[in-house]
Amino acid sequence: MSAPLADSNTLRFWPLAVVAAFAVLPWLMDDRYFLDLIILFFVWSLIVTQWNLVLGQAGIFSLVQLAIFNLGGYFTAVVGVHLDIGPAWSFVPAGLFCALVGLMIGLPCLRLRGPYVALLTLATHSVIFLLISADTSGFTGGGYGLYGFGDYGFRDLFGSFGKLVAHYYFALILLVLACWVMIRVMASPLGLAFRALRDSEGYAGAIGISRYRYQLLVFTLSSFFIGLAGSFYGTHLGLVDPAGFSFGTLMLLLAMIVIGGTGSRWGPILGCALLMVMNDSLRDIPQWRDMAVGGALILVLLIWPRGIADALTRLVRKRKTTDQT
Amino acid sequence: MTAALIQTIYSGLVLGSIYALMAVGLTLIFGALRVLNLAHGALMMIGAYVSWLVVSWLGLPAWLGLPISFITLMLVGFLIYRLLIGPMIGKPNWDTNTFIATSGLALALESFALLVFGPRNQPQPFAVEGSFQVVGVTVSYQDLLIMAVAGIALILMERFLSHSRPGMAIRATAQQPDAAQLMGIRQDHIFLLVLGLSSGLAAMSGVLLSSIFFIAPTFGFHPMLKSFIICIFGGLGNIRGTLYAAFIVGITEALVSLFLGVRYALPVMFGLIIVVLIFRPAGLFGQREVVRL
Repeated sequence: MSAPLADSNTLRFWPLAVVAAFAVLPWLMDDRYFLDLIILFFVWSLIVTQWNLVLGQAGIFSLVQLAIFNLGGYFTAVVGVHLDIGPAWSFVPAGLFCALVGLMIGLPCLRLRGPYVALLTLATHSVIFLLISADTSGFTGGGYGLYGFGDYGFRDLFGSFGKLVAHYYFALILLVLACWVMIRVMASPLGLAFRALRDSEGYAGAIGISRYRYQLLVFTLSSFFIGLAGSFYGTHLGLVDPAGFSFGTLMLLLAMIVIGGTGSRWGPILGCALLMVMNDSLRDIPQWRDMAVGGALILVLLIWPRGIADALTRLVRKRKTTDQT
Repeated sequence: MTAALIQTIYSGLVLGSIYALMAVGLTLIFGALRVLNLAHGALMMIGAYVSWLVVSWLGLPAWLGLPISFITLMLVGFLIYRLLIGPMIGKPNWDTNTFIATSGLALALESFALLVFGPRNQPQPFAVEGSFQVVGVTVSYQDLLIMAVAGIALILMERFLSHSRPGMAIRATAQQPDAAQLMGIRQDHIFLLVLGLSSGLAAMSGVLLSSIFFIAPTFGFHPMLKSFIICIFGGLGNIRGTLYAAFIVGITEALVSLFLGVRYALPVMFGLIIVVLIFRPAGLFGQREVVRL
């Protein structure tokens, strides 16, 4: 949690190296399936980093982030289908819309604590899902979803494969941006405020740190980025449908955060990579997949309750100290 | 119209009695362990299948389904505590971790059931045929059986919690874990007992609920969401409040289904709970936790 800010050069070096590696990847391979998978990895990584900011840093046990992600996609789709405004124009408005939704959800939910927040946000998730899937007026497309709302126009510029690569970079840039904001927030007075609130809420309150206000701020901010990601992913797939709200996906995303390490900086992305590799390598035996994922989840939590990132850090630190002696 | 209304309230009462069983199991765990058990729905499902197995595979009489399912799931609950929840309690992040771990367990159990029993809906053998008419309301014997079983189980539970020594120990632990431990109550044993009881209640409600619908690998999920709503309504960990809330929710659900249609039952319920929580952040009957520095 309160990892010291030491090792600043390794801290700067590794993320940049990883980003550089991902940036050259499309030049080295032309496997569509694989590139598609990595785009999904970028999108999910973005969600879990922002969700982790809410969950691990701000201490809000919120389960509504997947619904907000879907709402971002639905905003772009609805605007595209009914008002004929393309995804390129509705991209930022989708983020703003989601930020607004996040604010509206946060206003009542964040007044509560711990498990009540979890249950209330889960209820909100279900309400959004049910309202969208039960709609028969054609506004949200009901159970079938919406499609045919256009794209960013990359296909006309670069062709079919070029479009995929363009989306790849789009997602990568979005992810880097979201991570940068995450780091800025963690290092800002806001991050310090949350640390103070975690250590002693009463004392923090006495020196003028309002839990409610800061939590609301982070909640809204992360909703903005998650909404952007939702808008992008809806456009990338070319469709939005209620299947995106599935409880399995919600749990998978949450599992990424927890396995990686709640509150750690890069843990959730690590967890995302691990679970996606696992999910994909088991795709030929789907009937065993959920059991394997569930089992792995339980095992990791039993062995490393703080997540894999924390376990790795401790391993590295231990090796360093033994090297010095 | 009045007949339809009476019929609706009646089916609300039947649903409410099953919801009460489910929700009491959930709230019991939360009250004592402060753990949200997301595997509760999956346990209901397994309980329903056990009762089905007893009849279709072992060929035993149908009425044995309920007790055997209760006992089996109680043992499963003990196992879950020993292997899963027990080792996590008190470790870092244990509140989020138990939440995730139990949902992982639910995922594993559901896909296990899918693998073993297949996706086809199965009928629940623990059921009786027939019905009669009273003041324009069709009362089936199955509904009476459900209300009788749920009522007896809840009364026994009430007696157990308020008059037996282990029951009082559970309540003491729920009220003040440290003080209870200082009085010589072994927390470990109490938690084990609570998980067993709660899983047994889940099995029971699974058997009863599937007797009006059917058994399928994922049929426990929506009822579990509803019982969470009921628990929040009544105040998490508050058993009496949960009982009232179960019937309020059951009747509301039936009324909404009558006037607006079935598909609005859940959204209206969730909307209602959001409104309730805004004005009463600890539920209708819950008491606000006193925060001390």
